[in-house]
Amino acid sequence: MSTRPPYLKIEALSKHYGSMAAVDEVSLEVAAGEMVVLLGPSGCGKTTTLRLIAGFVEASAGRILLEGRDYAGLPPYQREMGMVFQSYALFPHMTVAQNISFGLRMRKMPAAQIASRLEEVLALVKLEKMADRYPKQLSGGQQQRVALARALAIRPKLLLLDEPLSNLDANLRQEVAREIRRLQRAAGLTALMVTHDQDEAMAMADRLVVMDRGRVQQVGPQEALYEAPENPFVARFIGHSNLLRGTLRDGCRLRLGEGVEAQLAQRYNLAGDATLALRPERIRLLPPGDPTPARMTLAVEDATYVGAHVEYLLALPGGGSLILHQPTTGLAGAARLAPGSRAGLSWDAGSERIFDASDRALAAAGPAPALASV
Amino acid sequence: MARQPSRRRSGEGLTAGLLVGPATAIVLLSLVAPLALLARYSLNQYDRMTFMKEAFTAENYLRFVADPFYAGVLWTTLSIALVTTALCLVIGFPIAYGIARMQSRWKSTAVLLVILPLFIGSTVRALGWIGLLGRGGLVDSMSGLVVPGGGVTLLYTSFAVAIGILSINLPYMILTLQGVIESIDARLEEAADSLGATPGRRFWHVVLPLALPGLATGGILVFILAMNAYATPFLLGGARFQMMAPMLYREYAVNNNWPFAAAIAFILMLTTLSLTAASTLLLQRRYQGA
Amino acid sequence: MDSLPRRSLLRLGAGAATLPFMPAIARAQAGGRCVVSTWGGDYGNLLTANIETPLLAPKGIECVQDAGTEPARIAKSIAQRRLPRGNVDVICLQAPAAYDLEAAGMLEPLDESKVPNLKYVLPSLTSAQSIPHIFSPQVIAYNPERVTTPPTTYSDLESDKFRGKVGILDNSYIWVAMAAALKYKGDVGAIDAVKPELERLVKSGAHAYTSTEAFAPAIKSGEIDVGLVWHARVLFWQKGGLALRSAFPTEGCLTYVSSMGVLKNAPNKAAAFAYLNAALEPAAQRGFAASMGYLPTVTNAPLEGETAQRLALPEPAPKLIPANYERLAATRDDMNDWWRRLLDRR
Repeated sequence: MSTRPPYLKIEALSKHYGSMAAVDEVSLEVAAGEMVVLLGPSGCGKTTTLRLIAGFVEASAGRILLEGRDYAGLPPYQREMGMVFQSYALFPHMTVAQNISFGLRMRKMPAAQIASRLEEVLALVKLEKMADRYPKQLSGGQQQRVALARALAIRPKLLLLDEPLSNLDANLRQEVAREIRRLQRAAGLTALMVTHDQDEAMAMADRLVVMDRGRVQQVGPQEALYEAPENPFVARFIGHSNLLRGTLRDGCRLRLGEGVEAQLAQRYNLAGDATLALRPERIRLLPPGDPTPARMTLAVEDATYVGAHVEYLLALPGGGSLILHQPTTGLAGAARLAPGSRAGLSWDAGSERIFDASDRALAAAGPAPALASV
Repeated sequence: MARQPSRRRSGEGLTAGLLVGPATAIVLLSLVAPLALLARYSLNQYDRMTFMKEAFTAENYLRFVADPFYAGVLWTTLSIALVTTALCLVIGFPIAYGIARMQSRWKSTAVLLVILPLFIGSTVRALGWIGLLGRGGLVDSMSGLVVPGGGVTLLYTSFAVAIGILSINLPYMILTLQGVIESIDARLEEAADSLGATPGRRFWHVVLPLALPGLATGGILVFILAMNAYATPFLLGGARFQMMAPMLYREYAVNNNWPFAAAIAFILMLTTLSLTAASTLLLQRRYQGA
Repeated sequence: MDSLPRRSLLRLGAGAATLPFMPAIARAQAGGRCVVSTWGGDYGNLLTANIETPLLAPKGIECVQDAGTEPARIAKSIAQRRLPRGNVDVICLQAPAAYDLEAAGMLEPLDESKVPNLKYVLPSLTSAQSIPHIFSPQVIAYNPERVTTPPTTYSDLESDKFRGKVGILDNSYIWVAMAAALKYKGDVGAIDAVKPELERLVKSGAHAYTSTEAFAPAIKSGEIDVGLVWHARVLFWQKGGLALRSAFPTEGCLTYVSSMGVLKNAPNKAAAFAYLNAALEPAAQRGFAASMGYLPTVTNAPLEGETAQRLALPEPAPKLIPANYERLAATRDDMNDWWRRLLDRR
């Protein structure tokens, strides 16, 4: 990410099916040894992007450069990219050993070298004892490791992972995720992974690429995406955000509807339609008698104790609900607000995010004037 | 833990047996009974006046085996069946593969085009080939245009019979293979691709081994169809071309020699069955060895 | 194993074949239903138009045709022969097959008390257990556009000018053999004596066609110029616009006869006899002549008008010679086998 030229560079990559753009001018730079995760809802174009890079699909426009070399028109079997499929795609008629050494045999590697590389990779994924089994004799997790080993065996220039964890049991996912990460780091491999699961993405990525409707919405490390989403889509998709639409006045008062106004923590150079994003765990519920002035006051609809926090639903004008998570730490015995009662809310300057009418994030112009105490 | 499922399975087996029972009885009656009757006939003697005389003799079989003429007919039948089966495999596979991997909306049209000829009887299609291959037919006139005075009449040759049978059997092969290829996950081919397999090696190491059971099924199906072809060799082979099914029919219906016809039927059936079984065994062994 | 005799096996098979049929027949005197086993197509349609509708329907006889190829129908009647009651009354066959069934004892003997019109039948065509329905002489058909001097005798087929231009209908080859026997041995029954002559003909490049329909296009395309066929066929193809003429061999013409018989286990014999009698009626005979070009088999049905002109045989009248069915039956199996091998060019 420094001054070095990027290892993988994708420029305005597009794929059109008729008039529909499955991938729309996607650009991305990946440094050597980095694990980048493409994240987005289903149909957002992340898998197609991966398949374009692998060469299974021909791009309508744009370039893919790996180590400065243009991969356009190069058939997949010449790209030297190791691919791990969601379904693993292990060859059912081959043993584990035959599966893993397949790529080496295709490279016409001498038998002795194949044997030693096979041993090495089997040890890496801890499947030495399974070498002679057929895929159907293995558990899902083992099959996953064979698929990974098969892709690693050829020492790929790029490791491509298509939803590698989604066919696994929930309790196995974290373990395998760590395993993939360990192997990728150990081999110093540059990897691109596709997933729809943000926890998985957050846990594994060096950097994330959030996609929606064929376009890149935001690229960055976990924290940047979480703390500074560039548009409402990212704000909602990474973690969860309440999106409150309203009209901004005086740079710091957002009128949400009939008689409800949010006093923002900062000032913005904008007047008119705006969206306020607030994360449930970043909103404070002011206990009755708290001297802190409320930024907004709403009626409680419901409160549910879910362990780590109490989830409050607060009525918004015009229908929807605002979700608020009140941590249970130090809350033992405290009375919960009953439905119907009004609650004062507050938040810090760094916790609010304002988007303009065209969904662009706005930088604050300075702190808002202090609120008068109640 | 281990006992319970097994007990349940035996219960299921009983129910399944009861369900399958009547069907089995019907199959036995409609398949085995006529065969048994035919087997009995094949041991009888032909008599010109009464057509069939009660006997218990192997003379009908011996007549077939001892006479090189009949062995020759069997050999022609076999070679035509083997050649057309091989051609069906070679021509059918790429077409089936193309259709199976087709993603566009034309796929159903392509499948329909393959099925369409099946709606037309083999006799009608044979008549079409007569118009194409016969004297004054399309091929004849076209070649006459290219080389003046040098027409080509392909009708009443083994070529005509082979191409006729091929055209009839090809849809069966394509449909069988298409189903099998569709059941092979396209991701497997992509995996092979990404691991550096060229299309040729991908076909040889991944697609072919996985399609082998389908190739065997399709091959056996069209082989049996070719071995038993009747209308095509009759119409396209002409009077001078002998295959088993027309000969069998002639013995049965024209000469009214039921015992000999029954013996021919059994010889044809046993030849077909034993070759089918042999090829299946061979494939199985190779498959496991690979 | 002898406890499972063929008789019961046959009955088993026949019983199964009968099941879907089960004709509910009211056995009234010359009334009720009459099942006719016949060829389908033109012949079957003409039976309906000339015999069943105009002559039998008024008598209250309802006719049902069981149409199929001759071998299949014969096979069926053989399978049912042991049944006390079959499901076919009248069976239409070529004369040689009718002779076979007669020899096998499957046909009902006929006389004028059962079929009064028998008294008008041409004497040379009569048979004890079947009626000759229609007949046609075997002629040498030739293409007048390419054959300037019409052939006059069977041996002309072997002349150099027709080398490779002779067509034989495979399913009627035995009639070619009989024509050869007539020419070379003076005896239509000396069939197996002319094997060398037939072999010569085939080896010189004669074409054999598995279907009758293949003959006309072969003449038209010039693949062949001559061939032995029924005169009625020539007339039929002429009607279709084909340049084709009949030459009547000087040694005589074999007569192809289409017969009808009554099966011994016919369920409605009275109706069957009525059917046969109607088939010999002059009106029915003239109908078949006009439509199919076959000649009447009775003396009381002279042809008139255009039909008479078209079907007229040349003067002096050609010798019409019936086949020797007995010797034909005796030698046919052996001949068939020999012919198959002769044609086989492996």
